[in-house]
Amino acid sequence: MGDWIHPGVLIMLGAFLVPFLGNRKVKQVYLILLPSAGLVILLLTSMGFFGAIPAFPGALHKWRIPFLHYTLELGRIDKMSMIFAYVYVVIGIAMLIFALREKNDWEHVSALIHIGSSVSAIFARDLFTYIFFVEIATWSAVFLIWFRGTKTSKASGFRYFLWHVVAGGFLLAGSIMHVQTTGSIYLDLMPWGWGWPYLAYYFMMIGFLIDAGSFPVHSWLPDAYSTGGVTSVLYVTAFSTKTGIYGLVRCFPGVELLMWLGVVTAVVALFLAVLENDARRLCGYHIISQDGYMICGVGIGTYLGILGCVSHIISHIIYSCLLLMGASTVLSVTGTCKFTNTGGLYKYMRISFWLYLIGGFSISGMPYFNGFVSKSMTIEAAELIHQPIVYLLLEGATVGTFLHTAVKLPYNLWFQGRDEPPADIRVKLKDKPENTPINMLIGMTIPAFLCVYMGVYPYYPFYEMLPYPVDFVPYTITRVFSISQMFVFTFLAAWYLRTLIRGTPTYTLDSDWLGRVPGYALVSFCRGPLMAFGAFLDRSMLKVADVAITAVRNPGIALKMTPSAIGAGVTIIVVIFSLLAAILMKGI
Amino acid sequence: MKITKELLMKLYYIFGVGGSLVIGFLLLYFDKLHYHFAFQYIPGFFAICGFVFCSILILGAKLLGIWLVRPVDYYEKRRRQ
Repeated sequence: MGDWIHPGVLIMLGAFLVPFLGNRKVKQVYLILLPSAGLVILLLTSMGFFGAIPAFPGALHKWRIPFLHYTLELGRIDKMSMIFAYVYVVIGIAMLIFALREKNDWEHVSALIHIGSSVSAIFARDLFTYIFFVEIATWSAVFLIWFRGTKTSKASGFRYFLWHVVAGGFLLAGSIMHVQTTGSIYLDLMPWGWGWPYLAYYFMMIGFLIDAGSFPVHSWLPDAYSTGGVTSVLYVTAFSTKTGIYGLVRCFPGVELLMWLGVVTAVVALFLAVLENDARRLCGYHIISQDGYMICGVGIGTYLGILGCVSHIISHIIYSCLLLMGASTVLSVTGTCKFTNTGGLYKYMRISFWLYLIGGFSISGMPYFNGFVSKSMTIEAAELIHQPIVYLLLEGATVGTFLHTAVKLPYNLWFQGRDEPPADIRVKLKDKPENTPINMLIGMTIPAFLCVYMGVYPYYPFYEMLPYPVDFVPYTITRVFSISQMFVFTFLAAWYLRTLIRGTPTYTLDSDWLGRVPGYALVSFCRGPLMAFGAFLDRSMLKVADVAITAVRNPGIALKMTPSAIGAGVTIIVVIFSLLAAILMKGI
Repeated sequence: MKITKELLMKLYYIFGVGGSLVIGFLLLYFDKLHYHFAFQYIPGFFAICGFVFCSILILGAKLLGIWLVRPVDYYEKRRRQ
């Protein structure tokens, strides 16, 4: 096992102690200490306490376990896995602080298992360990969604589960085929091409893409994120898609298909976001859109593309957590985060608004926020490989992101041109400038600080932690001026069309319609016509059996009682069935 | 002076819209901007980008909405049928 303690496994196993800690204060301290212990292990690992980490792609190899003819490896410690693990653990701590007042112990248990299994999946070197931990993460995520306790959350939790089981199935099928043909079980660069020999890699890619929330298999994401528990769904939003993209970065860098899929995802999600009425669904579409950037970065595949992808994942986990926290504060304080029911909250939730806005500016890529640095890398990578269409679509996605997260969402939740919220919400609010509980505000401050710090000074420790050496200078006059001018004019268009970006009490269909509506049709076909046919068959067979019994008991009377043709028919059926039964019995 | 919505919008038009256009022209004139594609050198390209993309997004989405937007209980009804 070696001297290294696996932080993911530590957090997962430590989770089971939570329900046994009697005192609530002790429990709360433990909830913070457990992931902090993981963070300490990561820091010690970085400092070379368990051996020096070689330059990427070199790695330290820990926790190697022999299994059948293979050696599973739970701890591949290289710069790529370390940066993911750091951000997972730090954001996990911020989320646990945010959810500290939650009384349901099992929510905390599921959350810690989700964080731990995601970290473990990141450290896995072989495909089977990766899939194993991703499946644990899926299970815990389903519970985290169910903790909302509503009928819709139950249904969408099941849908989330189905999607991820399908993804896991594809991944496992592809992995087994890969292992059979090559003999290698490692989650590393995979071959790519067109044709039957590459079928295994198509399966693996489909699995990763479903997990990553790529178009057209993205629809589970807003569905699950908008119906999950107020605080519990935050964990799902941060880690599940990023673990999928991590798989893509490891296995399929430089696959051009991914570049195009990424830009399409980035743009399509924004069109759907315009029509949204629910703040959390809107954030869900933005997560999809940003995932598009990352997938595009993987597809570009140059050093800068991969760096853009990885740094965007890191920035994104931080600011998307902040955005979702903002929506969750409104949901937990007012009981709703639908645009048609909110507005005018600024007077009562000021600090949450400003903290949210830091997340909004970061995701839009505003200068001096972390999104700017990472997004510029991906866009520059597209420019350097001379892809004007990809470049324009990514810029278009930047415009759309600014429109929604920095204009539409804050305007609809906190303002809508009103000083006071609607009466039914006003009664839930106290007369003070901030109604959000203090632990939630502290939870939001951690990612908000990171968003600003990484934006203002990305060189240390952010650049140092990235897998490849970085000489990218984000703050040039050209870049800062261009994006600022673009945002000024985006606001202008949004201002003229502001009546169109208000929420409407409607539901927007997505690509899951293709599965759900035929699914319902299939269920209603089974319930209606198929059941009726089954019942008819049942009745007919019983009748036949009745006649057969009578015929066997007293053939003479039966023939007299029934018309001769039916009698003959019945006799034939009985004979055929008896013969069939005899053959079958003999066969067995 | 009291900060009102009208005042903020006036400041936005003068310093934001006007200012960014003037600065853009000056930066281009003094050759301070370095891009990768020729079309990026069109004066006010990023202003057009922001305004046009935003309008396309909102209006395009509203058009898409004709097919996609349904009542809130759309799936509930389907399920019950």
